[in-house]
Amino acid sequence: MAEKPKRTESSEKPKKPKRQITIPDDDSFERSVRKGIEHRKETQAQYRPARSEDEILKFICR
Amino acid sequence: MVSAPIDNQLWCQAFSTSEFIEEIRLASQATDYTDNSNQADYLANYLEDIGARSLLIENRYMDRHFIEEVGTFYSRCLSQKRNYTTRIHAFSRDLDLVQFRGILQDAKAGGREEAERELERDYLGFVVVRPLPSVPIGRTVLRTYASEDRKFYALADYTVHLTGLELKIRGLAFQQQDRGVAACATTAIWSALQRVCRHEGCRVPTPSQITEEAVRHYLSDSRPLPASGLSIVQILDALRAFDFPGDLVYDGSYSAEELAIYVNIYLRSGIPVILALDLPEGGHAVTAVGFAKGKKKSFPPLNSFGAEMLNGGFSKIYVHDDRFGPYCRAELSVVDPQRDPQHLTQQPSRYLAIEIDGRPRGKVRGAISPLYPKLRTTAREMYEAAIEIEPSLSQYIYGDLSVDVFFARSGEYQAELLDHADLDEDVLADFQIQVALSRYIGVTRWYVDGEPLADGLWDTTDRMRRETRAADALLGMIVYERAALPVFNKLRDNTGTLLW
Repeated sequence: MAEKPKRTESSEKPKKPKRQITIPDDDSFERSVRKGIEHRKETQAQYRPARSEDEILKFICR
Repeated sequence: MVSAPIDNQLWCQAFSTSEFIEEIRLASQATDYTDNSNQADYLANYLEDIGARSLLIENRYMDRHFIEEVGTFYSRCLSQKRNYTTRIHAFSRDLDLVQFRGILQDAKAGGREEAERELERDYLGFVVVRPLPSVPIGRTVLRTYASEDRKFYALADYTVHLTGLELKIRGLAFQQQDRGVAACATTAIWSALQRVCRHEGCRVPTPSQITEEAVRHYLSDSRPLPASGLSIVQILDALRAFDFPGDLVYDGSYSAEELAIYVNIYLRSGIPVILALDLPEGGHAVTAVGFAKGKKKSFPPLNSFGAEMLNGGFSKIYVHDDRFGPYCRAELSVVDPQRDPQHLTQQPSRYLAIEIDGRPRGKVRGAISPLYPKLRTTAREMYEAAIEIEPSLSQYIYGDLSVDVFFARSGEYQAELLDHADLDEDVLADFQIQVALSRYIGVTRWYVDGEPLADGLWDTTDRMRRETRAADALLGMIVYERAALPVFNKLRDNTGTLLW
């Protein structure tokens, strides 16, 4: 089997600067997880069911 | 008795908009060109825009979808319609009959593949013309506009058989509603099923089969035939009958911005969206098949979402509207009746408005997406999953965070990863060897400063039930930005998900 060609230096992408992050500790990460859950629940709370079944039944696309 | 020979004379014609319209008139047996000029005009202009230069016309073409209409409806009319159609092919090259004969001779001499590729390179698609003067445009498959910004994921591959040659075309079938057997909603369902049935390897039902299923359990206010229109419930019923139950996103249940985001998530996933519209002239249905990337944050999610939702960064969509034609440009916008004097009457709250081809604005009443039956997660649940994860990333990773939400068939997703320039080869190999995915997966693709950060992969074969979406259905995450691994390690520890 032919050997897979290795990438040459010139074809390599220029190195990106290393992405900056904060390493989370357990407590702060847990707070972030809770915050995400709260945001999701806020979103879910805004859902309103269709005003009445009739609206879906009677709306005719012609 | 010897039957008369069946004639199928082919001929070629240089393209011009007037010539194309004249061919439609002749093929539909119209005595003059008065009715339904909208669709013929639209198609003529569309073909001109995508570079048509010649037409090849098959005089006698048996179209399965039309012949079934004949069997269901026209065979019992006093005045008989013929049972065959005319098919007009369009090419972006000059082509006359002498040249076409030459291509066939080359194919016979052993150059068949080359002949097919030569024709296919310039093939723009076909228009079936029914012998119905008032509604002539039958099954029509045309190429889309070529453009980087226009995104057409909900298309299908069609193989066209022409004089023994096979030509491939990628598009989505359109047809004009024939009020004998189909309402606008029927043709909208038909177009949507063209994509999902072909993608899943099923036979696409005909308009008369769709009408039959739509009225099986509930007949709204009239007879099934001639067709008079379908309610949203009947649209859902028909989709369920063909094993692609629809996810209905109903206006008023969500904010106008969220409704637009859900439409985008499905279109981004290659799933067409049937839009039930409240137009000034009444209820109407169209099929959305693509969108154009537009202004960032055209449809922002809730204020609490700290990232940019890329699915809200669009305003134009492309719809199959049987009043005009395929890939009609439509503009979506949020209208606030308190601030906009043009608001529809009796509409108290903000709504998602649509303007198709510059016509008067209407309201999106509902959006229905036909889903593969085991794709049980909805666009809304995926949107909520992104909302839930966002703080766990944005608080620790510096830069502008954005997310693109979509569904993908797992085999196609895995194939796409093979070409992903930002994925480390070892990570890719580990992932492909270790992973087990559902047929369809939900993907939350995160970016930081526009660079790929990570993909979250979600199971779609169950409802999301538990306290956290992530613990419930997150199958794993692929991390492109390896410097961010410590954050994703925390997420893995917290949710028990897999990490690559």
